[in-house]
Amino acid sequence: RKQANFKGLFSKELKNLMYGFGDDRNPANDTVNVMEEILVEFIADVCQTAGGPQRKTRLSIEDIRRALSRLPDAKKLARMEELLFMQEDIKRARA
Amino acid sequence: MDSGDDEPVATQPAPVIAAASSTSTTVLQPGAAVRQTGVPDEDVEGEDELLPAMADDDYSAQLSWQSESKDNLKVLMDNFSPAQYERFEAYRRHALPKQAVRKVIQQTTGQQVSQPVAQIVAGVAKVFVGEIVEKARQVQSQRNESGPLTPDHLREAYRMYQAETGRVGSARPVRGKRLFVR
Repeated sequence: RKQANFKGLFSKELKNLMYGFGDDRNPANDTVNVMEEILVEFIADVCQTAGGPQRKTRLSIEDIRRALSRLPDAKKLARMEELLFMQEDIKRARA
Repeated sequence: MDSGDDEPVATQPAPVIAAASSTSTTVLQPGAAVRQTGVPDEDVEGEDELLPAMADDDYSAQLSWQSESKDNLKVLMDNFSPAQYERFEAYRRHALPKQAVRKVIQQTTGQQVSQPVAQIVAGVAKVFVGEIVEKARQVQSQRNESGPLTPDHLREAYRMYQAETGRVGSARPVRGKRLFVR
């Protein structure tokens, strides 16, 4: 699959996130660009894996869950379950 | 474009706290093991499809964990320096725009994703950004360097990340420029 150039799509938010996670108050622009490239690669990898060997047409939560099931991804998996919980919380509050 | 997490104000992600500028990073480990919710795959139709329903057990487990987290968070935030507080707010308030994440998924893998699923991927990807930035800071400090992180710090961090976690997997080599070769 082609890896198109997404230059700048995430810059604004990435700057703030990188600061939030420990970078300087004003992260360097070229650093942010590299972070974006790494990020895009990560997203593509996870979703490619999630789709499985017979690439599915549509990804489900279960697919993502499976893709993040290895130990080194525990933090990311936990975050996913937490986000699902927050959605559920909202849903139940409305019911 | 979304600029914030859709989360209740006091909630914070269970195992992740942003590295504050000076003092040690406190990481709260989840008390309960992460459970599989065992729900069937959602029916695939429509842009606004909801996420799969959560089982009551899992919901209660998360609920008590969340409430414990809220108390811990309050203690933590009460002890922040102004710089730490500012940094933490930046971490909380910002998120990857879900439409952009959705576009990335669709254009790089050719797969469709619903908006709710893209939002989940965006949340997970945010954690990934944190893992890379934290590692990059370690790389920087090992080299006795300071100041804003450089692309080289990030690349080294990403290399370390890949070595530690193994490539996510069956991703086939992309045509065209491959940025980071193991």
